[in-house]
Amino acid sequence: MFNARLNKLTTAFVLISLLSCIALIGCAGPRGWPGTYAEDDVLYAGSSDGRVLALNPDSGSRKWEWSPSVTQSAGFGACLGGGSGLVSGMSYETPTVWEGTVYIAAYTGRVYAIDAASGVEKWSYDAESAIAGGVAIGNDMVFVGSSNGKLSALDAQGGSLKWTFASHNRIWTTPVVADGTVYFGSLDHYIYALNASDGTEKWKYETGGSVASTPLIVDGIVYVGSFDNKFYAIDANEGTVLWVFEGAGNWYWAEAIYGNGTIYTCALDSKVYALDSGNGALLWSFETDSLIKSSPVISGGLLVVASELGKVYGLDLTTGQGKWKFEGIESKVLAPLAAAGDKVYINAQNNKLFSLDGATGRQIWSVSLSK
Amino acid sequence: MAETVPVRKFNVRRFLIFAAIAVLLFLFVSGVVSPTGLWNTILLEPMMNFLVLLSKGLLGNFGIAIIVLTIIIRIISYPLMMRQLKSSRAMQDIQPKMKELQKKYAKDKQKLNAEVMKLYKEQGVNPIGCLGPMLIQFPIWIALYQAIIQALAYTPENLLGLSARLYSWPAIQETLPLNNHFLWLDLARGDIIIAILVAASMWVLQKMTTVPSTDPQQQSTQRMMLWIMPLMFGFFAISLPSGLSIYWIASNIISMIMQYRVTGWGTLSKPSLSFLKRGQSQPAEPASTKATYEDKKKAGEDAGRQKQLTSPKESSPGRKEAVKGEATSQQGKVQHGKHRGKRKN
Repeated sequence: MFNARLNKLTTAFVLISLLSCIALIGCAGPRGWPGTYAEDDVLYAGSSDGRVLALNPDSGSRKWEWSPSVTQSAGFGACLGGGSGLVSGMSYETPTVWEGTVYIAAYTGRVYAIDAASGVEKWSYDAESAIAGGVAIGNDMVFVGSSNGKLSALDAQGGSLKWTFASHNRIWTTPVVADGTVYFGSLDHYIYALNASDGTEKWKYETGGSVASTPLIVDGIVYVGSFDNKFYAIDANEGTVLWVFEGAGNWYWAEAIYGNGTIYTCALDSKVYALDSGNGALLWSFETDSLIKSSPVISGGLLVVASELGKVYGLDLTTGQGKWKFEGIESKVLAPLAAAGDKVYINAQNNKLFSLDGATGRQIWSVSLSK
Repeated sequence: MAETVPVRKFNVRRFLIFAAIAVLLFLFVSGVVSPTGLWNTILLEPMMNFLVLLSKGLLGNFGIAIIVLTIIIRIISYPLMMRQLKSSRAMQDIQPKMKELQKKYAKDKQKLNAEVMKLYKEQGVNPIGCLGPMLIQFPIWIALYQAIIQALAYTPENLLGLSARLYSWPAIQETLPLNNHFLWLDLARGDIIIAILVAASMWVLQKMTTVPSTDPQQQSTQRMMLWIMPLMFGFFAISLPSGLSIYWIASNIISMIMQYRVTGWGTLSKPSLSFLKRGQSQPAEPASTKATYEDKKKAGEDAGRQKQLTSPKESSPGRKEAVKGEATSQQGKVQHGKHRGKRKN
C-alpha cells in the first residue's frame, strides 16, 4: 500500500538524516597534540593515548614506556563531536624533564611525575579540570594551568599543592618561569605575571582576544601572540607594552622562538613572521600551505616550520628563503617541533614520530608510537 | 479526425532547479568548488559568525543567542514549514476516503492503487509533498547544529577549527571564548534535566504530528517512532553539549505552535491517546461521514466540482463538513474540527 510505503520512506528519511548529521559532524572527538622533549641521548615522546615513551634518538627504538594510571573513555559524545565527557588519556602537552624526572599533564586533569631513567611513576596530582597546556618547572615547583581557569603550583618532589591562582577563563597555555615569576596567558584575554613563590599577581595585561600561545621570555621581555591577530612585546617587570606587530591575518597559537635578535613567530594565517626583537619591525615572512599551530625550531642553521597539513619547511634564518621541503609525513602536525643537535623531531597526528636532518630535510627514521 | 498530441507545459521552476543542480554538479566535478567549501561558505560560516555576534549583542549570553537564532531561522523557513504542515494536513483530511477505498478494493490491490492515485489527484494532494520542504530545511538544521557545537569550542581542537570559520572582525574576536553558562547549565556539557525536557518536548511534538492510521502495521510503526525518537534524542542530550539541547527544545516548541495553528493538537487529544495506548484499530467511521463523502462525490460528479477540489485551499468548506461529521463520534476530533472552524471564521 502506498501509505505504508510513505511511512517507511519517512522513517528511513529520519534515520538517514540522523546518520548524515553524525557523518557531517564526524567522529572527531579530541585527540590531543602530544609533543616530544629532545635531549642528545634520549627523547621523551607523548603518544595520542596518553603514554610517554623514552626513545633512542639515533634509531627511535624504545627504552621504556609509561601509561597513565587514570584513563577514561572518550564516550559516545566524542563520536558526535560534542564536548561532554570527552576525557581520555591523551595529552596536549610536551613532556618536560627536570632533575631526572619527566613531568606530563594529561587531559584527564592529572599531572604525573615519572622517573626519567626507569619510567616508573613517582607521583600524580589531580587538578580536577581538563589540562590542555603543559607544565613549567621553576623554584622547585611545577606550574600547570587547567580548564577551570586555575593555575596550580605543586611541589616538584612530592606533588603536593602549594598555591592556586584563579583567572577568569580556561588556561590552555603552558606557563613559563623566569626570574621568580610565572608568566601565562588565559582565554580571558589576559597575560598574567605572578610571583612564583606565593602566586600573588605582579601585573596583568589585557589583549584584544584570548591567549592560547605560550609566552617566550628573552632578556626581560615577554613575547606573546593573541587571538586578536596581534603579537605583543611586553616588559616582563612592569607589564607595559613595548611594541605590537599587527601584520598577521589570523590568531597566534604557536609559541614564538628567538635567534640572533630576531623573533620567529607563526600564525594561523599560514605564515611565518620574522620580527626585529627590538622594535617589532617585519624582517621577512614566508607563507606555507596551511595554518601553523606547531612551534618552529632552529636546527642545522635553518628555521624549521611544520604546517597543519604536514608539510615541513627549512627556511633561511636571515632571508626566509625556502631551502628544503619535506612532504613525507602524510598526516596533520599540531604539536610543537623539538630539536637536539642537527636533528628535528616531529610528533605527527597519526601517532608517528619522525626524525629529520635539520640542514637538509632528509628523513632519518620514523617510528610508530602505538602500542 | 486528426489525433491531437498533448503538449507538455514548460515548467520554469522545475527547469531552474535542474539547471542549478547541473551547474553545482559541474562545479563539483570540475574541482572549481568543493562541496565542503561551499557548505562552509554559504551556510555554516555565516550562521556561526551571526551566532557569535548575536551572543555579543545579548550581553554574552550564548544560551539566549541560540534561542534567538533558532527563532530567526524558523521565521525565515516559515513558508516552507507551512507548506509541509499543510501537506500533512491534506493527507490527514483524506484518511476517511482512503479507508473507504481500502474497504472497497480490498481484494484488488492494483485497482486500489489506481483509485488512491486518482483520489490524490482529485484532492490535489501530493503524498510526498511534505518531504520537499523538509529536504530544503534539513541543511539549515544541520548547519545550525554544527554552528552551535563548533562555536562552543569546548575542546582545543574545536577552538582551533574556529580560527578558520570566524570572520576576522574585531567584534567577533573580542567575544571569544563564548560564555558557556546559561541558567543552571554549562552549555558545553550534557545535563539530565535538559535531556528529559528534550525527550518530553519531542514526544509531544511527535504526538501532535502523527497522522492516525487504520493500518495495524502502521500503528505499530507509529507507536515505535513515538517512543524511539524522544528516547534517542534524550540520550543524545545527555551525551552532547546542552547548547544543542536548548536548540532542540526551542525548535520543538516553535514546531508545536506552528503545528497547533494548522492541525490543532492532533493525536495528543485524550481519546486518540487512549486509542493508541490500547493498540486497537480505529472505530469504524460513522454513517453520517460516509454519507457526506458519498454525497459530495456524487455532487462533485454532477456539478463538475473537480476543479475546485484540486486546490486544497478552495476545497476547505468540503473538508469542514467532513470534519463536522467525524465530530459526532469522536470527541478528540470535535476539538480538532472546532479549532479549525474557528480559525477559518
